[in-house]
Amino acid sequence: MIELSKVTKSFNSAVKAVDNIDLKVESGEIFGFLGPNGAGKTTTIKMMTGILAPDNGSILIDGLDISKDPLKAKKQFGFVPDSPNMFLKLKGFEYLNFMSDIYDVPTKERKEKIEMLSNRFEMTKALGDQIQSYSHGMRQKIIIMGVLIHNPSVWILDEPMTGLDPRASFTLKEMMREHADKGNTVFFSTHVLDVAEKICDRVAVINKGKLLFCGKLDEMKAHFKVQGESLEKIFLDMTEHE
Amino acid sequence: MNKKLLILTIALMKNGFSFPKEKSKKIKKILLFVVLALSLLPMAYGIITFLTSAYDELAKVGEEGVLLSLGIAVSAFVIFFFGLFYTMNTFYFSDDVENLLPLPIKSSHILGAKFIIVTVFEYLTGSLIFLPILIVYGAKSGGGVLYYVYALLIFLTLPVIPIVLDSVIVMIIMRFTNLAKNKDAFRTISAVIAIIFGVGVSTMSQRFVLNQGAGHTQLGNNSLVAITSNIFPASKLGALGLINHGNLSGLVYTGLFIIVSLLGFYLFLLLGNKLYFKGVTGVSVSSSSKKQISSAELSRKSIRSTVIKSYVLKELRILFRTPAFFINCILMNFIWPIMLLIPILTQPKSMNGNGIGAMVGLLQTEGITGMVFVAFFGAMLFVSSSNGIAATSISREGENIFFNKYIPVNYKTQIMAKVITGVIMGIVGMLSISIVAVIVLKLPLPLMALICVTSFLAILFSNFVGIIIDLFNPKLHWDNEQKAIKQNLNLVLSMAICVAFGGLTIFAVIKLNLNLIQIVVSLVAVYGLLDSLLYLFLKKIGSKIFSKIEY
Repeated sequence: MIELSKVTKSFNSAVKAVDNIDLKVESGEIFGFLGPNGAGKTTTIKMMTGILAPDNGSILIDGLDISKDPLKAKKQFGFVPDSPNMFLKLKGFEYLNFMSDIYDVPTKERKEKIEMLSNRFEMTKALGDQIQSYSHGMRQKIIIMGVLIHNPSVWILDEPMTGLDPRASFTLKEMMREHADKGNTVFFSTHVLDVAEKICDRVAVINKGKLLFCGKLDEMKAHFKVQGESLEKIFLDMTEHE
Repeated sequence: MNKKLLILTIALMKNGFSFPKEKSKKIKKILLFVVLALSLLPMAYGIITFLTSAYDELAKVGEEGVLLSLGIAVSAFVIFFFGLFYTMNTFYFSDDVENLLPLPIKSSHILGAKFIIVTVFEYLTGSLIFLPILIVYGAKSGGGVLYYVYALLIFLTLPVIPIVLDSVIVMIIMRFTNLAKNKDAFRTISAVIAIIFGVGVSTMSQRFVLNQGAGHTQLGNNSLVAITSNIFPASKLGALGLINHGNLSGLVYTGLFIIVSLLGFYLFLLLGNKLYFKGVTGVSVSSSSKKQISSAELSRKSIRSTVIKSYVLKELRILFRTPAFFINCILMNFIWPIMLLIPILTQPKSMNGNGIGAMVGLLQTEGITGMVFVAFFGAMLFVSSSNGIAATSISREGENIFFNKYIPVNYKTQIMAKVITGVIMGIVGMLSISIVAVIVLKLPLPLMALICVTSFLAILFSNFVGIIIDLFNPKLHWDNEQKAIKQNLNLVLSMAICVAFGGLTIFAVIKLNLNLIQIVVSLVAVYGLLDSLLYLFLKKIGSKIFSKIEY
């Protein structure tokens, strides 16, 4: 479960990157966070993960406050950042082991996890090579594997589908569904509406730092009273005329 | 200068030296420069005093020209030495060539722009050594306007030939690395070969020249000029031009010096067109083995370890595997023993009796052990800060600094892991110097062991200082690794502070006239206390500062 209440963040100037956002993501659901480029998605995610400190408001991950109890809260989630260009000089398995040590994963469990994940993501032949030699999609996959290795209850993913081939993208969506169905939380940002439309239980739309909508997809259509219109059209209208 | 070349040079330069736009950061940066300048002042004063008295002594025997010729020769050597690093960094590790190649720019312009950037760097190096010599000589000899005009021309031209040599060596070696499969590793090894080769060549030439000249030292009338300048043959022209600035031959020599340098640059362009681009393309491409890791292998390799050990290992892996980090942070630890060896190896055989032999004898004398002890301690402060591992440890994270913030590892642990990484490499550097000291200078082993144990506190100190400086003002905005280190003032500042502490420690020990035991006890007490204070500072305040760093 993720709870944001009255979260605000501004950088240097008067312009608020995130403006007084209230958001509650329940356990057991896949939650899509939509918005155009520069809307405040990444800033919100950075605050949720403890990378940025909010100016105001509080953020709870599974009931733990990220500012007050950062280490415990950070153990609850796994985070996939929007750029997978990290640790390029490490070999795949070295990275996975490093992440396992960081998250205290026992030897036996990590070995099983590494084998299971590399099979599912078809990365078994890449683990011995430096991440630098990976394609964009493979880098994305190894980062996702590193996140899943400690079995976090909350997944936070920033634009996770970018660069994935259709097969890997399908696997990830499948895994997101499985994870949520076990009573866990999946929160991800995207600007690709098709993805949101297919897998999200609920969505929120953010633009210019303000939350425009939060609810189920059909509610969104009803809310804007344009039955029959494509979601894309609604989305474009909503973020343009704000 | 060609307009396009100028634009390209400025663009590449700007890319490297971005001056912050925000006012608070601007002030911070200016303050940093002021502190740096101030910490260099005592050194400048010392150098000028030394040069003035050297001039007076040499003038007595009519050899004042030696100051210039030796100055030019030494500057050319130092420029050549640092140039090896600069050219390697600018030509091969700055990752910008692949972005430039698709643009409609002549290849000679890319080469030229990079050459100019290295030259500008070298003006900074030159201004530390060559400029004081030019000024002292000018002031002392009462040189007129013409002297200073020639001096300026020669100052500006001096780096050209050493850099041409550097880049030719580097380009030839790097040309072949592109054939290798594991490029990073091979490139790193080539860099090491280039440095050894460069140092070797200059050591040999120096030795040859000194051997040749050993018999003629008493000739008078600036005859030493001819001999010492042989180290870089063309630099003789520059020295002769300056010494004879009063008559026509001065103009001819200066003119010839500039023409030779221009020819050198032209040669560089010709060779560069043939060698450079084939060697540099594909720098960042690395091949993969695509081999399946067996289950047994995986079991062996995935064993749980503590967070701090895992973190240190990660830091070391990145330092060793990133060529720019390897050259500047790892290799640096082995440079100082080599530096110690050069003057010893270049001693001509005839001088063995009173050169190194005398030094070994001197070091064995009773009462001097205390001096040796504190000198080594002071040197370790400098040496372990020179690798810059701690002073760039936050900067090196770059745009990925966010990783440090979302992992469930507290900032104290992360800071200490970074300090430990620097300390490990500092110890490696210390041991390599110790081996040279024990074998070549014949220092007794028990004394050396005691020195090493005490100097551990110096290594700890320089790493604490380094990371504190980097925490306050990390340079996170860089687009290739060498910028995180080479163009990072935090490294220079931490070195300046450590040099100042080293100097102060040595000065205090001499002033107080302590014996060996007193020296050991007081060094352990003072640095033990300083290290504890810095540790507490890092633990309490350092973690807070780390938590506030935002990209």
